[in-house]
Amino acid sequence: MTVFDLLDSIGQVDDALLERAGQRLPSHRRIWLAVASAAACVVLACTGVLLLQYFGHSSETDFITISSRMDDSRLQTTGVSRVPVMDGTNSSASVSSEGKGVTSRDVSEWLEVSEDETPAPVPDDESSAVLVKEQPVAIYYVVDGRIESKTVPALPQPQAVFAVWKTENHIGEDVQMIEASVVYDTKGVTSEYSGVAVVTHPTDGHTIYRLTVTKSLEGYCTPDVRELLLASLEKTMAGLLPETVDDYELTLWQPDEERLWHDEPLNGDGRGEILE
Amino acid sequence: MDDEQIVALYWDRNESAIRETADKYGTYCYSIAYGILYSEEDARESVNDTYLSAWNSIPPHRPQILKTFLGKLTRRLSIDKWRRSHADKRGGGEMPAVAEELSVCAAVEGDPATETEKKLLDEVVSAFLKELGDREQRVFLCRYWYAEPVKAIAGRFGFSEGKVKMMLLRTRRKLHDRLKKEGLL
Repeated sequence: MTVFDLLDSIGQVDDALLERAGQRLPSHRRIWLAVASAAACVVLACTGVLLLQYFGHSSETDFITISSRMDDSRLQTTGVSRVPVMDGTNSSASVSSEGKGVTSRDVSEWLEVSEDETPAPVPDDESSAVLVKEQPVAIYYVVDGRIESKTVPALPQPQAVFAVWKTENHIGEDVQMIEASVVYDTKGVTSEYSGVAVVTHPTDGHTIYRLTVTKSLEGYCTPDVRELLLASLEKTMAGLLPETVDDYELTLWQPDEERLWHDEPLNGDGRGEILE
Repeated sequence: MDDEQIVALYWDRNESAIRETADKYGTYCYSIAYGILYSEEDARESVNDTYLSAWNSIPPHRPQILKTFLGKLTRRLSIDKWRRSHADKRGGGEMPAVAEELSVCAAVEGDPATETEKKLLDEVVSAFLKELGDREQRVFLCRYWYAEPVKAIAGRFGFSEGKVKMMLLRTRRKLHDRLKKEGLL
């Protein structure tokens, strides 16, 4: 037997095999390229979604954005014993606390205020007729070294409640509320951030009431009234919630000279405006 | 014109069958012939011999697939031509390399197979090819049926040349073992 006998036998192969042999087949390389292209598209899509969330209007994402850009000079502890320390030394502080299983809602959702409702003007005094709900709101204020309270008719937004609190405590318009939200943690949070201070939360069903106001509030916190003032704020804002929360967190935020995240100021949604 | 009509022309002894065949499958046959002979003149001559051979074999033969029928004729005629004109195994093209590669499975020089051996060899090779995996089967036929260069096969299937060479080497070893097992070596 010679090579030519073998070549001749190979030449007698079935027609079907012969037809198929000349056809292109998808190679691993082409498959890999297709998969890589698809993966790249997915990555781009995910990046786009994340960017949208990052620059979007979600209260949860906004909070992350704000906190992650704070530095030491712009985030300080409020000094209230129940308020977690947030000095912002770790940029991932809020991100780490809002991991899997954590959801956030704006306080206005708890107040069941329709988004279609026009936000009430900030009342100048308690005779202001910003009456949307029958549930009255307790406003706490500091007077003569103690905390007093007064009840005002229901207010449509935390922003309006905050405005009343400012009025009662003689806080100027330079102080703004950035965000009021409730964070649900169904998975448990081990630490709020991994910086200087670590706040440990219990697991399952833990709720955190987060309030962010501008750092200019510090200007009104003289040593003798500081703790009382911040406590009155907590009591006032926490009183808006239909349920008690497990923790309360106040962040004082100093915006950069340049805009940090939104080109347009936030208002009317309980998060306040961004100061320039 | 479809294949059945062309075959009908052959059966009707209509000489236009040759023209129709050339129009439809002339390039295909030429590519096979050129791959083996590596000469335009020899390839054209081989293709013309293919038409003549088809004219002489249809009827009585009625091919199921005219394309592969013509391809097989072209290949056999081209290998015969190459063998006569390149007995010294020199020359261009892929056939010297193909013959060299297959020499692991069969002697280049030696006594040709007897009719009995030839029949058994056809059966063993056919069964062997059917047992190969899809990719190995295609690569093997591209190399040893069409005499395609390794580079062209690599490009056709998107493999590296090294991978094609390795696939061919392994398949040849398998064929060698199979032929040995069947008593053909």
